[in-house]
Amino acid sequence: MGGRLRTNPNLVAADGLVHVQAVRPDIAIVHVQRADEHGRAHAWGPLGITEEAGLAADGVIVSCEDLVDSSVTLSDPNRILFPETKVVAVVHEPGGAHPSPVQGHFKRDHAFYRDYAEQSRSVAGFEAWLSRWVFDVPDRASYMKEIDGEAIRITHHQFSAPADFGDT
Amino acid sequence: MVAVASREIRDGDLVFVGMRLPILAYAVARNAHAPNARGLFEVGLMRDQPASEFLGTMGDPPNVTGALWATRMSNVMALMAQGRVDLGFIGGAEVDRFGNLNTSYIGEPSRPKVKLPGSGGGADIAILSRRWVTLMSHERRRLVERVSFITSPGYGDGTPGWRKRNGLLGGGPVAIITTLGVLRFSEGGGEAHLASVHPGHTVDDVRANTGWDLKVADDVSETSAPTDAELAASRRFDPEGFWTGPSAHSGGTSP
Repeated sequence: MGGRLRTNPNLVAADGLVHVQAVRPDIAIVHVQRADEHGRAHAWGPLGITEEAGLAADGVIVSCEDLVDSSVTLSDPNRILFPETKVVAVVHEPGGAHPSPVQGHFKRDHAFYRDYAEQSRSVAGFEAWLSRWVFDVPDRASYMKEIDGEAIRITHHQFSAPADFGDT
Repeated sequence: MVAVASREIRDGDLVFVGMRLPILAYAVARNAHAPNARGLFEVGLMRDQPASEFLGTMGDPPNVTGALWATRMSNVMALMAQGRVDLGFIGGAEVDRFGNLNTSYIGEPSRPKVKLPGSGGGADIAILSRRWVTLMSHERRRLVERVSFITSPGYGDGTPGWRKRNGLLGGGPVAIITTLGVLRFSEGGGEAHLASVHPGHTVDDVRANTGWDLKVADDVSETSAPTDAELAASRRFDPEGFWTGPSAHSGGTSP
């Protein structure tokens, strides 16, 4: 058995158990709906491995749709993803997840993905794509002006009920 | 293929819904014969209603709106590890007569001719779900005598008790649904046999496009054509034919 898999005969009642060596990233980069300047990040929707990535990493860079006051994040501490002490930077970058979606902010850009899949079939096509969408774009705001905003616009908003975090 | 796959879903099942065709199969089943089936998505979602719009991936916002549960991936996988998932679907590049699936390498794994996407949730589904079904385009290069690499184990070398001896908790594959027909496994696993042939194809077609000497059931039949309800649901949830059209992105694995 090689790579990152190990057996440990010393674990109690661990007959034949194989464990996987932990992944320890230096930095995790996550994009969330909102965060405050102290690094308290709120995200909702399917979380996949978002929490695990931030918890495993030594440091977290949080990119967010909305940079909010800490009264917003602290109104719902259950929704904060990682300890603020791990967050090394907060970046206010609306659209930062595009072409992937952000629940409540924008939808997945299906056409953009299909275009990428087509163009990246050849090295020349991939390089042209990189120039068009990465190297020749000065910043995210310019990038967001180039995409089809109407195709990813959220048409129906649906808010959750507030949770009561009293007392005092 | 979508309609046939949807019939594997029983009412009340908790179904691990991979990407691509299985999402459509779930949508069809929920609208046709399994109104109480729930879908579980590895990205961290549970639903009892197909999303109201086309999905490119399972994490698309329409798949989150109206969810029964939005959580993290590990919670969903843990449910499967507890034996709580009735049925899973897995796509693949290669499958063999014992249902072993390859989504990792074509050719010698140390020097592969082609590197494939890998397991995704495939190996987990194959090992842990109570039963699972493979969906695949029926070609000799895909239904092979021996897979180059076992990413998701079926019945291993086909000997009785292989899964149990290797500590695999779930029941194993029950069917391989292809573009030409349905291959099934007998109770207890082992080798697949041809159970039905889709309309417009013959047993000889299927055998000629299979990379091993495929056994044929004594009572091999013609697969029932999609019903109006199944077709309507399939078209409603894939209006552009992205997953089901002539150039559909078949095969592959989740996500």
